[in-house]
Amino acid sequence: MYTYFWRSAPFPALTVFDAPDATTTCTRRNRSNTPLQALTLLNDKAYFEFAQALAERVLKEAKPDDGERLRYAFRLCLARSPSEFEEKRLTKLLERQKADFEKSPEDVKAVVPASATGDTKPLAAWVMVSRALLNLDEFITRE
Amino acid sequence: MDLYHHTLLHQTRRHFFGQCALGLGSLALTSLLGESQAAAPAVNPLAPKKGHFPAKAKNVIYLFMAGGPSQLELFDYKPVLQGLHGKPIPESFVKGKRFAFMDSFSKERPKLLATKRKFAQHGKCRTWISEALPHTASIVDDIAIVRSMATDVFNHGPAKIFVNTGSPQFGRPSMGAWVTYGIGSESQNLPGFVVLQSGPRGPRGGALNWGSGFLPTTYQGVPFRTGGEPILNLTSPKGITADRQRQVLDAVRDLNDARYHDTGDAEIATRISSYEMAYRMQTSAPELINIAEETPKTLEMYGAVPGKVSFANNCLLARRLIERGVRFVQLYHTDWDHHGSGADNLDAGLDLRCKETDQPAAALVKDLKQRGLLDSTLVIWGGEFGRTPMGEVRETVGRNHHIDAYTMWLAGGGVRPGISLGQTDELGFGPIEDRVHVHDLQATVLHLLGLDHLRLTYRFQGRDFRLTDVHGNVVEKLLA
Repeated sequence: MYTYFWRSAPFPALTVFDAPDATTTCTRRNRSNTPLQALTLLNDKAYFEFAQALAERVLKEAKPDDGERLRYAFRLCLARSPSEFEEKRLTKLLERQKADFEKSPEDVKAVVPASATGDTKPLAAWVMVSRALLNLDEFITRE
Repeated sequence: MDLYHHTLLHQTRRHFFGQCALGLGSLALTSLLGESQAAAPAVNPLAPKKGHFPAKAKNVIYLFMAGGPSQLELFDYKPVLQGLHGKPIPESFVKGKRFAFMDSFSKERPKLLATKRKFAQHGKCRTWISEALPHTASIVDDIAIVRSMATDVFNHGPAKIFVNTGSPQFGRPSMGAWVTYGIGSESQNLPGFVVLQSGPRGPRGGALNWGSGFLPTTYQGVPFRTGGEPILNLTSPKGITADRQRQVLDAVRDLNDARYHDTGDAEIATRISSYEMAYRMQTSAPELINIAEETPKTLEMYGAVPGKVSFANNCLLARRLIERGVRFVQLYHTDWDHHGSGADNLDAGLDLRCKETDQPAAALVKDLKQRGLLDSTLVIWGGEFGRTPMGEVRETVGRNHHIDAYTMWLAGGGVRPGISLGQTDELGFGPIEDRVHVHDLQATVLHLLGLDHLRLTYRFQGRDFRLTDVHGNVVEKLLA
């Protein structure tokens, strides 16, 4: 992936994750853990598009069953199967979001990608589940 | 070393405690870590705590003048130096000493440089301030000027890190991190330690100056952006209501919580707190950063213009931050490094820096005083070192970095107002009275906040570390 990075105006989403400024050498990266990073991962447009794309992929590639979809999404993100607790908890999120979006068709439109067609309510709910997966500490932090 | 131990060495902590065949479950883990089996990180690590003794100062606003402002042009009046302009400095002063730029100083003995600035006495305390700082001159009775500051490090990056962390080598917690580790922060909706920046670029050393070192990362300084919105991404994406955001956060928190119990990794606890803080910031921060809601009179006093990026805006923002309970706010303004190269000179270059900072810094002290906040807010002004009485031979007028004596000032928070501490010799080269070393300053700052620098420690790599390392004495003469 490519973007523009100017020394005098570095890309904010990279700076917030301790990208070294290009004016001096960096012998070791700082590893911070701040609320600004949380705000970026939750609300930044790029990261929201990632979540939308993940949701679309899951609905396209997994078997048409919510349990299968959840396990597939989980394995895509974390390279392991969810525990019973994890699956139950994310299913709860999915169900609540589905019920919630039933009542707000405008919000559905805002949340799904512009190119989405057909009944987009399930997709909106899956975007929310994707956001949750992409914000898990286990996903963000690689050792 | 056999293969088993080799493999073990390369396991990460999480893998080891979560999945290895030794079967160490979270139960064994918590007893190993010596923690209680209480619920994970619902505890707020930044919750306010009592210090070692009661104190006046509750908040700190540190105005860091990056680059080393020239004390001889601003605060330290040396009439003898004026008379010796152009003469080589006596060898006794510079023999055996090293300076940041040696090439200009080693070819021939450097020549003394008088200042072009006129000095006058101000306030009831009759202290000498140069014409370059007219606004600071108007608050001399509220501040304590220290003219005998001393440091050990003559280059920017390490020197800044030294002032902030107590060591010129990076890796240690910064002052703000030690303070929030010691007494937490009153604000639950905002970070406890915030960093604001202005000027053409960031300070050398960057994030290491406000890092948490070996302390948990929850204590690190959180920098606000310099251009555009100070905090990006405060609004959730379109279609995500506060309730929907909350639901996603709850799911993330629950899964992270389970992971914390499996692995015991403290960074997950920090991650959870960061997300909770982010959610609270979404509601409270938009109001905070909107300085346009201040009265026109206040905006004028600081010279602040809503929407612009400036030191003045940052000073005003700093006051708003401490009003909302943020414990430690550090402002960096670049750049005071006037060697005499091109525009970085002691004439127009220094004028520009003074124009950008003199009025807002004085306005901040006046504003805090008017609002009855000065007693509980410690304001610190200064850089990482000073400048030499000898001139540097470059295109225009400048001085080299100087560590033996330089000037800082403090105000509020239990500091004795209207005093001048410390004196330098006739050339302004070294201190002759009341030398205040960086470690002494650090000890004093902690003391003013109710913390004993000897007792605020953290065990790491087998020994107890502290901000002042193994040095530092509280400067009693600065205390009210």
